[in-house]
Order: sequence, then structure tokens, then C-alpha cells
Amino acid sequence: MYNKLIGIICAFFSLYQIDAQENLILGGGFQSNANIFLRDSQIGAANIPQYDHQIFGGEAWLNLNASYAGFNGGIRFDLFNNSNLLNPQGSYTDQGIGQWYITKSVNKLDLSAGHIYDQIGTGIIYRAYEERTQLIDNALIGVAAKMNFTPDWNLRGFFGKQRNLFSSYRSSIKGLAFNGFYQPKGDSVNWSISPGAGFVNRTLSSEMAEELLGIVAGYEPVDQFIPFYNTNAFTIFNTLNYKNLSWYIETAFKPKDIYFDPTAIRSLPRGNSTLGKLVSKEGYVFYSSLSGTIQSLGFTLEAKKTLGMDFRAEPLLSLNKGLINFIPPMARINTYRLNALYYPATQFLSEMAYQVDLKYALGDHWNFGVNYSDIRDHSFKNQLYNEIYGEIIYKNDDSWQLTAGVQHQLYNIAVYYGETGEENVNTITPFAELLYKFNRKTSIRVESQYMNNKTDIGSWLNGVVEIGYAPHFLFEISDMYNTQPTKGKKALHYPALGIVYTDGPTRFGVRYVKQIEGIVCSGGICRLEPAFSGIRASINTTF
Amino acid sequence: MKNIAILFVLVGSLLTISCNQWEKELSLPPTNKPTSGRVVLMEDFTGASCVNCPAGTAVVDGLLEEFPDNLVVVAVHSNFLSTPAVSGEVKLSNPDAQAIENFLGGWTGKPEASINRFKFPNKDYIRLDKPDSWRLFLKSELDQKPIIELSINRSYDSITRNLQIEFIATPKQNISENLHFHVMLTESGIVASQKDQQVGIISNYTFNHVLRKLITPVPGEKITGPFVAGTAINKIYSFTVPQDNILWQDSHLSIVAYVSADESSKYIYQAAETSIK
Repeated sequence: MYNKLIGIICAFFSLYQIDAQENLILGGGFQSNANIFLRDSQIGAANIPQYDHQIFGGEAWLNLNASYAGFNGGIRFDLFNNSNLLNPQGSYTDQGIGQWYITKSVNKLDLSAGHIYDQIGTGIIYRAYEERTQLIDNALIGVAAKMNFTPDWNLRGFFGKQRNLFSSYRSSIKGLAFNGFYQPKGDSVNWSISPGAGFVNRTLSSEMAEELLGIVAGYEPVDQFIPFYNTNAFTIFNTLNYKNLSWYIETAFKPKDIYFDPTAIRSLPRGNSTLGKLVSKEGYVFYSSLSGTIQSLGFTLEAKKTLGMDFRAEPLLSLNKGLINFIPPMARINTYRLNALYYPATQFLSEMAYQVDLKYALGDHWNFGVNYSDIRDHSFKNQLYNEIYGEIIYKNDDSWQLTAGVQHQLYNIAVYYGETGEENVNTITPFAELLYKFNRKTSIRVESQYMNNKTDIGSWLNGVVEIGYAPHFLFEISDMYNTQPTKGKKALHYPALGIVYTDGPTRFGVRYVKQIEGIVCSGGICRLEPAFSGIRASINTTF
Repeated sequence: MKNIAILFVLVGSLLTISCNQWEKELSLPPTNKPTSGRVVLMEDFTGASCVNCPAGTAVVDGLLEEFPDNLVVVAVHSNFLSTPAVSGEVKLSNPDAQAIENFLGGWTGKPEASINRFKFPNKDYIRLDKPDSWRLFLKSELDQKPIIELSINRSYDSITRNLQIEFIATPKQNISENLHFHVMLTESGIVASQKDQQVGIISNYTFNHVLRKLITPVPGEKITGPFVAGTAINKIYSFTVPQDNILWQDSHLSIVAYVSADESSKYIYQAAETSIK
């Protein structure tokens, strides 16, 4: 099948030679990661095939896009060789066409076929996207059509199956989405709206339905229900813009769906019980964000409430597999290493959260930032996560910039890591970063964080020094050190040393890294994120 | 513009009617007892520090209760999450358990189970997650008639602690390929602490079917084919049970034997279990 496909695409490109009057635009990109695994059992970098005998593992993606005579097309080759990206404890080897697509516009109608990425609203009922660092690629393999009634109002529909590596999941997905924009005419008008709505349906295959029937038949009568093929999800959303304010609101609802609830109590023979079973329940998400500026103050307020919104291509999938939807996270994305160590994964089944982000500029030199996020379960009683983050940035013209701040986190390790019985992680992490430019070419960046933590993995100190020599070189040296280990563990260093060479759009990097291990328990299973010890090389380019 | 809005509302109203009312209602299959004579080996990958594992073991116990004559269970305490839940308590992981984990290949976490070491269609690995789905896959194996009958004869001397095991496999049809014989010892009734998602730590948790020793090599002992239907194949194995204050209690030890396919497959045709005394 792929040979035929490549033939069609080659024929498509060859049109360029037939009719030189049309402009053929070609572009693409290449990304590759190569890991050399150097066993270090002291930090836990051992007992997976890559450390035991494979030594090397990597991934690569090469994509080529073309535009010609109103057609757009693309093809991507994916390669995984002893890769631990799919499963950190495993080794995955495969290769093939990871994506192809063709699009064409006919008057007001846009047509697409192949692997299609798209989302409705913020993605609460449907988001097909690619995230290579986690090997998420849930493109829809199908067709889509979008009717542009006017430049501002459109309706689109799609159907197909969700991609599962080089095959697809056993369900069909179809949907409709409507988007619009309205602004009254007139020079004095200062408001507009962007309403939208969407619908998604998932139909299970007969084989999948039989599987569910077999599982539910094994439940005690009190837990049994009759599985069904079809599940729907609906959403309605709007953005209201008024002067410098932007208010987004979205409400999504999913009538009965079958999903695995790891917290549901399952009855067993003789009156015993255990946790985790398939359930048939409704779900919903309310989400809203308000952002704007008032003089020098910029702000974003967000709130979200989620119940039973796990929506997957197959009900038995877990972790990142087969997700049809995406629920916006409600915590700050931190970039410094220790500040980012504890991240609250979005809870699909029960979550209520809000976040406030403020930024204030004082004169030409000072910037202040404050972020507060609070995440609890659906009832708003059980605290899951709380973060208070503050930073001050002082910029001295073009020569240097200093950033300093402090972060406090409360992290429910029982929920996020499945470490029941362990007390919540409480961290206080001050941090600082200095960027100094010696001249237009040479700069140095120094960052450091200290995480004070009496639980879990203890307290840590991290330091990074980066020297940039524009436009080509970036040198990096860093070390993360367990200053106060817990649970009888040794105080160990986790150094990294790297160089990045940039040449136009091409970036080549090589790093020697030691990275700590972690355990993540989610959806009723515990998954080891092994420590890494070895050399990582990467190439990124676009053309 | 108004027409578009009306059209959308109409379509939306139609779609809000649940599709469940449009499709033919399914019905649950009957829960018949197996009549095939198949005895299935189920390996429960577990660990004392695995908070979700008691839930998996509870499902296994339920299956043993439902299929007492057709299921042999081995609890494989491989290294991951198998450190004692309370420091200083008995360690149940051992190199043989880790060797089985390595032999079976890819895995995601714990609890997971293998069922006859079969890689089921549409599954990534031999090991299966989601304990409540294990019964479904077990049932599909129980529906297959065995191509080999298996029995174990044993003699055990309580003084010398010497154990003699006779492995008897009788093909029910002609088999042209090689076979592999496997023999191991499991131990039940080991009391220690277990981490648990609901209560934190269960202090007096009873660990059953714990893999203690592989008597044959990890891939099994190769028996060269072909084999004729009805002609029994016998092999004798011996093992001296170690002395220990907590582990190796001979009254709690069982012999687990199973026969698997040739080198190209790890698939198990039939299993059997008996106590050593």
C-alpha cells in the first residue's frame, strides 16, 4: 500500500516538470535523536535492553511537504531503532510512513485526506496532534472537508480512524465543528465574538465490543452493565474580545461512555472488593479563561472543572495511548529543571482547578511575575496540587539580565505517583539566572536552583552554565546533586556536558547526561521512568 | 447567517440524542465452566512495593476461585517495585523471577499478567495490563482443547529435603515440532508487608504462589520432536529444598510444571501443579 502511495506522490511531484508555469514549492524537515546507553546501576540506569546489550537506540523523522497548483501534500518517514520513547522500559524497533496527506481547495471547500491533525475548541472533545517527546501522534487517518461560507464562518466535518504507530485503533471517529467570527461594523466598535461548537462520535469495532462484553461478563452482577458501540461528545465555546480583554468559555459534555476507572470499587466473589473496573458514565468539562492588559499589568485567569472525561479510541487504553481529547493543564509550565520536577498531570476523571498569572512591567528595566495555581479533585475537597511562583527580572540595557524568584509546591504524590501512604511533597525552590553578554557574539548564562524537600527524593541543588558563541556554538555544563537524600539513598551527582552547533536552520547537539529515575503510577498501573546515563545526540533541520 | 445558525442548531439537536438508542442492544455472553480440560499458566507480575498490585492479585484470586481445576498461578516478583514494603522484611524477588521478566520481553508496569505466554492479537506485549481484562483472555485460552496432557509424580524426603519430580507429558495428537519442559517451585503463605493504594501498607499480607526456584532453564529444557499421539514422554528432575527460617517452608511449596512450544514461540500448551508433600 505504501509503495502505491509513494508512487502517487512521486507522480504528483513530477507534474512540476510537465508544466513549469506552475510553481512547485518544496519544503521539509529532519529530526533525529541518537542515544548511547552507558550502564550505571548506581543511579538505576540498568535492566532494560538498551543498557543490557543493545547499547544504542534512536529515532528519526524526515518529512517532505510540497505545494503545487493548489494542491498541498506531504509525507513523513518515521524510524525507531531500539527506541525507549514508546515505553521507557522497553525497546521499540519499527519504521515506515508515519504520515501522509493531500489537501486541495475548491472554491469555498477545503478538502483533506490522509493523516490529519486538527482540534475543536481547546481540544476538550477532540484534538489530533503530535508530541514527539512523548511519542504522542494521534492523527486521524481519514478525510476532512471544510466549507467556508464566508471568510469568518465555516463548518467542517471529518471521519476516519485514530493512528496507532503504523496501524490504527479499532474504532472509527467522526466529527463536525463549526467556527465563526462576528464584529459589528463601525469605527467605534470595540468588541467581537468567536463562537463555535463541535460534535464527535466514536464507534467501536465489533471485535472491541466483544472484548468489552467478555470483560463485563466476568464482573459480579452489581458491577455489570451492557456495553455499547457508540459514544458522543459535544462542546460549545466562545471567545469574547472587548477592548484589551479576551474571555474564552467552553462547556463540553459526553453522554455515557465506557472507560476504565482505576478508583472505582469492583466487587469480587465472597464479598471482597478491589479497585479498578470498566464503568459506563457521563462526563463533562467546564473551562474558562480571561486574559488582558491594564496599563502595564498583564493577567490571565483560568478555571476548569472536570468529571469523567477520559475519552479514548479504545476504552482499555491507558497513559497517553489512544486519547481522542486533550484537557488544558492548569499549572504553570516551568522551565528550570528543579522547578519542573513535580508536574501535575491532567486528571481526566476528577479535577477542579484555577490559575492566576500576573505580569507587571515597571519602567524599562523591571518585570515582575506571579503565578498561583490550585488543583483539587472534582469535589474541591482533596488537594492535589498547589503552586505559588514569583519572579523578578531586571534587564540592564542589552548587556545583562538577572532573573530571580522562588517557587512553592504542594504535590499529592499519592495521586500523581500512586505512592499511597506517602505524605504530600512540599517544596520551596529559590532560583536565579544571570544572562551576560560580553559582546554581540559571546554570552554566558548561569542558572541555579535549590529545591528544599524533606519527602520523596529529598533536597537537590542544580547548576547550569551555558556559554554561547554566536552564531554557531553553545557549550553547556550542569550538575544536579542530591544534597539531602531520603530513604537511605546515597547523595549522588547527575552531571551533564554538552555542545550545540547551529548552522542556519540546522542544529546539532551532543550531550553526556546522567538523569534521575522516577516512578509514575497512573490509571491503575505503575510505570518506571528509568534513569538515563549515556550520550544523547540530536539533529534538527528544516529545508 | 441566520440560516446557518438555525441549521446548526437543528443538526446539533438531532445529534444530542444518544446514539445508544439508535443501536441494537448487545447482551452479555453466558459464563460457562470450561470443559476443554485445558490448564492455563498465569504469571502475575507483582511486587511488595507496588501499590496497585493487591488489586491485581485480588483478581487472580477470584479467577482461581472460578476456575480451580483449570488455572495455575505463579506470582513473579521481578525487581521492579519488589523491594520489601517495610525495610528489613523478607525479600521475595530473586534472579529467576527477573530472568522470566527478561525472557518474556516488553512490559509497561505492574500489575501485569501473562496468560500461557501468548501474545494476544492487538496487544503490544505478552504481558497484559488492566487486571479486569485478564479473565477475558484466560477464557479464550480455556476454550482451546489441550494438545498435550500433563501430570506430575513426586517424592519428597522431609529429612534430607530432597525432592524428585517426574514430568509426564502425553501428546493427544502427533506433534512434529520440538517441545520445552519447564519445572519450578512456588511458595504460598508467606506473610509480610505489602504497599497498597487504598490503605498505604498492609502489614500482614499473605503472598501466595511466589516463584522461588526455576529448576529447568528459563526457556525450558528442549525435548526434540517429533512426538506420537498417546506416547508419554517422561523426564525426572531433582532438587534439594534449602533450609530457611522464613522461606522454603516445605508444607507451603508447590511444583509447577508446564510444556511450551519450540524456540520460535514461548506459547504454553498445558500446565500442572501439585504440592511437594
